[in-house]
Amino acid sequence: MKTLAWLASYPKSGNTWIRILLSHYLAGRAADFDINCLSIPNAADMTVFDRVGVFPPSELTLDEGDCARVSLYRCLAAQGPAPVWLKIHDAFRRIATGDWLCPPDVSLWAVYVVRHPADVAISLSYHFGMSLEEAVAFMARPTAVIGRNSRLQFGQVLHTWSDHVNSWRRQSDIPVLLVRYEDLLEDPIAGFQQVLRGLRLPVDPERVVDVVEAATFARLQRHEVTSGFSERAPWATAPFFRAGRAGQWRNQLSSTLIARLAADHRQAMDEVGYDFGGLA
Amino acid sequence: MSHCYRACGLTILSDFPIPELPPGEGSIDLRVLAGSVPTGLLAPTIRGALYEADAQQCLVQAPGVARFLVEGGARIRVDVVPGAADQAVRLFLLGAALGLALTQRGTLVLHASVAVLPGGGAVVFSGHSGRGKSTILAALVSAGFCMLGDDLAVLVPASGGEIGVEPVFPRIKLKQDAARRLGLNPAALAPVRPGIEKFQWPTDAQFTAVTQPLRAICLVEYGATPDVAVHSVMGSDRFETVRPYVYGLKFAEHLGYHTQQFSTFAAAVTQVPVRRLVRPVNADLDELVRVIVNEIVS
Repeated sequence: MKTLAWLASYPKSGNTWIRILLSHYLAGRAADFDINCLSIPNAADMTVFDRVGVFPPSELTLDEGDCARVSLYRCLAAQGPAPVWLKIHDAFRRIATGDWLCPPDVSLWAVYVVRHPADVAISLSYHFGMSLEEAVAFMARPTAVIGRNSRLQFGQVLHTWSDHVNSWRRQSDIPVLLVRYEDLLEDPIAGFQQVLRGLRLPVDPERVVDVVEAATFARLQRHEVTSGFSERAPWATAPFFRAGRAGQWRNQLSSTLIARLAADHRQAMDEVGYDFGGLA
Repeated sequence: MSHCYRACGLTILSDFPIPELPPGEGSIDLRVLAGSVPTGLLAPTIRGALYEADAQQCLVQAPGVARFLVEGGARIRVDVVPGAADQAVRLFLLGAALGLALTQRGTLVLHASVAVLPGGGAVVFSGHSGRGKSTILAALVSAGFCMLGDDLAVLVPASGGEIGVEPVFPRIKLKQDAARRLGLNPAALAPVRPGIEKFQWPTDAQFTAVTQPLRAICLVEYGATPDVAVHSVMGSDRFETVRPYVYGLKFAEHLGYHTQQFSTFAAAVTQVPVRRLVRPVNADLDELVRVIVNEIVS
């Protein structure tokens, strides 16, 4: 039976914000929420594997970890009930055995969150403690992997930013709803309602407003200051909820890096409606 | 030629050498056999991640390494994938198959590392993957404590209604950065298996080979704040707080918690202090050990 619902994105594309909105909307509460206790787990979190596995996942190679993950997702799918939400940063991809990492036969739908790659580069650089040049190079690396050798997460294969976007958008095995971070940011209430309608989930307008207001960026920042955020990397050079704005690249990226991003990602950017506003 | 060992309260006779285990003798509790294992069970009543089981058997798949058929708590049949490294096979044999065999026998197993107090008695450090159980144990061993095991805590009824914790084997598995933080040279340690940046630290000189009475359970968790904190868990909350750390929980619960297993669990969580050790991801190891020594193992 198809029960899995994927909340997919390249890292630092607004996935966590939508995850917070969805987690609290689906849980039916908005006030006093806890950003450290979200009901949509990370599909690469080894703790999720611990609950239904019988050996330490940190002792698996990347390929073996992929097999373990497929088995884990099938197991979660069987537990139901639909939708069983999972956040995922991997590209939509086949593992070494030829199977899809996200098994289509048990997957209901996917939400794919996309964000302007130039803003992704800035956010990545703070999150991973790397320079902007390194972040832009990382986004062009076909072998890009995160979480490898992590003690908390399975290794997650991203490929390039363009390949990542294309992998989720062009696959036809799982119905996918594309959400642009910038659109949601511009009008969170209308944007979130659109997401819910796209997924044929019941829209309760009052609850949408409650959840969106409880999860404004300023409020999330305050939560992070008072109680911390468990998903902030120890090596991050800024808070997890750092800026939450669109278009910061205009002031923060050099023309060289903009030209580099344009050369690397023009085609995929075109397809999801991004450009450099005449700057590249 | 067969090889005889003693671990987890069991005498184990194996078709192939398991150098991690201390030698044993006497009547055999568990046989480890090399042989063919089917790719699936005929009518599994439970499917977990990479394993399936019925009331008598459990089949574990370690992808690219081996398949293990664990039967009635008395036999583990190992079907090695051609070309797999011996260390990798033993890693899953000792980490997964052994724990399942113990569970089938009605023994309570926690996902935990176990330190021994200076005057005797076991402190169990339990937690999910990556919370630092092994690093904490290694830090305590570095500070002069003895140990019973890493990864599995094997709890059994002992005399006088107490709960005993069985010796597992004298190895601690450490990630490269944890080994370095403890002043160990990863290059001088054997990897747990080729290609994985995790190493085995042999702790034979500080291994306690005698069952120890359980003295405390400490659950290691990550918190989002920068301080290390210890919280006592009281009353019936202890059952739900410790439950997630039962080894192979889904499998153990499917077997319906053997009566002995449940009574051991109930006695363990009610007889000794249960504490939550909440630590930041990048906790300072010295500070963590100081808190543990002052508040948990004192």
